[in-house]
Amino acid sequence: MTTVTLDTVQSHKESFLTTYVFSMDHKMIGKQFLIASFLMLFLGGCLAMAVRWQLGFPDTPLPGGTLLPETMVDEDGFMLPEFYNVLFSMHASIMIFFAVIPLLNGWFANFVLPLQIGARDMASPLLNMISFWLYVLAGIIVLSGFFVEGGAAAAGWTSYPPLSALAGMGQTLWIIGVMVLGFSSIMGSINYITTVFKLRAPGMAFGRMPLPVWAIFITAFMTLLATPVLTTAMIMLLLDNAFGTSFFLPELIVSGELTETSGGKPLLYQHIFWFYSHPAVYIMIMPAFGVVSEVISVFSRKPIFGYKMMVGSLISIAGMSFIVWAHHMYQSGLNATAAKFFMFTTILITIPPTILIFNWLATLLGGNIRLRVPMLHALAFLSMFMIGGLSGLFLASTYGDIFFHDTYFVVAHIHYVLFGGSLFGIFAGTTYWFPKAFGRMMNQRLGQIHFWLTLIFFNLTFFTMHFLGFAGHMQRIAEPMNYPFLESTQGLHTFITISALILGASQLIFAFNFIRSIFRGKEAPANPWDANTLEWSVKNPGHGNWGLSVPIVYHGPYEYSHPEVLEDFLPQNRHQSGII
Amino acid sequence: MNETTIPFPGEEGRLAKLSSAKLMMWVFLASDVMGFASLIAGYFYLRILSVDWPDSGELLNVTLTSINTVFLLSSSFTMGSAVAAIKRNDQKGMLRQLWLTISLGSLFLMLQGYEYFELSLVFSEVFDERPFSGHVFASTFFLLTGFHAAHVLAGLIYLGCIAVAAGRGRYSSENYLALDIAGLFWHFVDWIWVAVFLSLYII
Repeated sequence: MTTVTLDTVQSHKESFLTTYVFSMDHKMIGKQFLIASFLMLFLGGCLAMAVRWQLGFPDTPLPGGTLLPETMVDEDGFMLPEFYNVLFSMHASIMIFFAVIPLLNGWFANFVLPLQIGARDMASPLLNMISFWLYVLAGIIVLSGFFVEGGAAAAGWTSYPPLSALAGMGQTLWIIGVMVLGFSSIMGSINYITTVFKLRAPGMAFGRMPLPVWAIFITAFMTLLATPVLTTAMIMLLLDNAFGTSFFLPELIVSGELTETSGGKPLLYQHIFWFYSHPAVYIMIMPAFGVVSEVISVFSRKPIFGYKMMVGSLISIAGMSFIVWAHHMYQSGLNATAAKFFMFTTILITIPPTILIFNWLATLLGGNIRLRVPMLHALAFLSMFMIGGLSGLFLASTYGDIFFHDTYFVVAHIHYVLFGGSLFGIFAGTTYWFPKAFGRMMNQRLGQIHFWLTLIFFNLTFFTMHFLGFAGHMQRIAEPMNYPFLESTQGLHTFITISALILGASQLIFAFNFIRSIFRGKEAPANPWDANTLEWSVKNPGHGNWGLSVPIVYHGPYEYSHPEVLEDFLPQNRHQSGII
Repeated sequence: MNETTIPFPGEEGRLAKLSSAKLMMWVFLASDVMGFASLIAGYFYLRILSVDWPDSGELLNVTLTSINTVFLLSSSFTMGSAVAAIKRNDQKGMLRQLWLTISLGSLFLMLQGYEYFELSLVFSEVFDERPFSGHVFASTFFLLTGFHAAHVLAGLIYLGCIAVAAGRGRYSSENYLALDIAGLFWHFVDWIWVAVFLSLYII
């Protein structure tokens, strides 16, 4: 192995505070994102369990409900409908803004991106640190809504006006929190884009970049261009909510009285919000595409099928994601011609992900498959994401959407994409890079138990919701049994709740395995998965800076089972004549 | 093959002359453009769908703001001259142009403050005592100009820091990157004003 030696030594002594708290090391920031987002994931999961309890056992008080303040439950421990609204709103907000996006674009991006391109750190470590702490600040602001008068935000994660513009303090805090989080995301993406352009190791041409890097790089462009649009929506919503303007508010009659607002358009909010949030659903999944590509290639011991096609698909998804937003608004009175245009673009955007799926399948074909825990999660991602994509087709069509809009079919769809897709991708990546991050292996047996329980009960929980959707069951209602036509769905609800509780409990196995392995896990070798990419060429664990040498890259990242190489892998920084 | 001659990809081709810091500013500006674009698009959405949109030419002081626009745009040229001066290593020229830029920017903000004061009187008369929220026209006007004014203010603080550093002789013809990057931001703030001005006052 040949390396270039640089005369600049970038490592210096660090105190406890600069190592673990205000760290500027990208690996530590990545791990901070990992831990913080997992805590948020846990919290969001608990809220979901409470939502399910209300729906599954409406006649039984919430366990421990009597301990909650009277703004949330009545004296017998039954949940108040207002609190139900808080629960599902905060569940979705926390999961989307504070768990899935930061896990993919905070943990993977920070930890993996510089290591895989052979950079010492991000282009601006300081900006990177600020980005993390803004994320923490945003989380504190949003969660503090639970402790103010009127409770936390209860207008759904989309926070449509007029409801959100007329809501109280909790909603105001939510708006401010989301705005702060936006700044954090923008800072992160500026860093990722610059790092990829400027700091790749010698020989790391664009055509040799591992797919997680490509995915994070392309996602950063989406974050960069979409997030400021959300910020402006939040500015206007904040002014409407707290300062009496009427950007989104027409003349309204609230509790019998005419409001002072006039001339605003609630639909404007929906347009601006979805102009951000449709790219954002790809922000929530695209890094997982990259992670899964990497994992599938490594554990199939085969080069990824159609590398260039993969990159092209990712780029076209990112580009097209900006012109499909109104498919969330078919029922809002959208012009029929416009609806046709958005239906066309929405169906068009299913093509590149299909190419990805075919490429993953073709990679698996004839591979020497090793069913380790990351691979199991990657395979689950593949099949669950496909189901989510297929149910998306029903919603993409304006005709189907008339029936399915705002029903549990949509809830099932989003969970197949976000849980079945993103979260399985996160599990795949986390278990894959855990040895590099913490220097120890995770327990395989516990990992397998967690995987199978999650896969089975995930499907029992969310596949069943499709049927609720077929029955015309609206989402976001606290007491469905008040509607006579929904009385027959109580059995399904109870079944879903029991599955969801087991699904939630299975995640504790992962939490136990994760925490135990950090301290007690088996010591991991530098390259436990026999992988090619550069992060496996440095020693574990990733504290502090690199050594003195910068690697040289000689070929692409997916040279597995090459006929001219003795082993079945060929690290990117190992020179082998004849292989480009 | 001599191994040590393999270059960093970020240091060759077109990227060679573009430093990381400057690239970051460009990337940030791309993001900022989307913020302005979103606000301007929202403004037109509300305006086109409104049934009682007032005539902006009657309510707004177009002449004053046109003059103000000239001040802001000329500050872009003085900023350019400041960078040109330090390229010649002309310290005095750079400082002169830099402070001129800051003065023009401050003048712009002061005139806009005066305009706000005047308009708040006009608007409270027209929109029954609620100058900022009485009509969406007023709200969008203050939002868009206010969003821009916040950028001008940030730019002035930024340039003030740069000017103080410049006064201490921090920059030379070999080392003027920070000045260059600040200039980039300042040009953006100046020229995005043209879009805001055209949307609110002229069209």
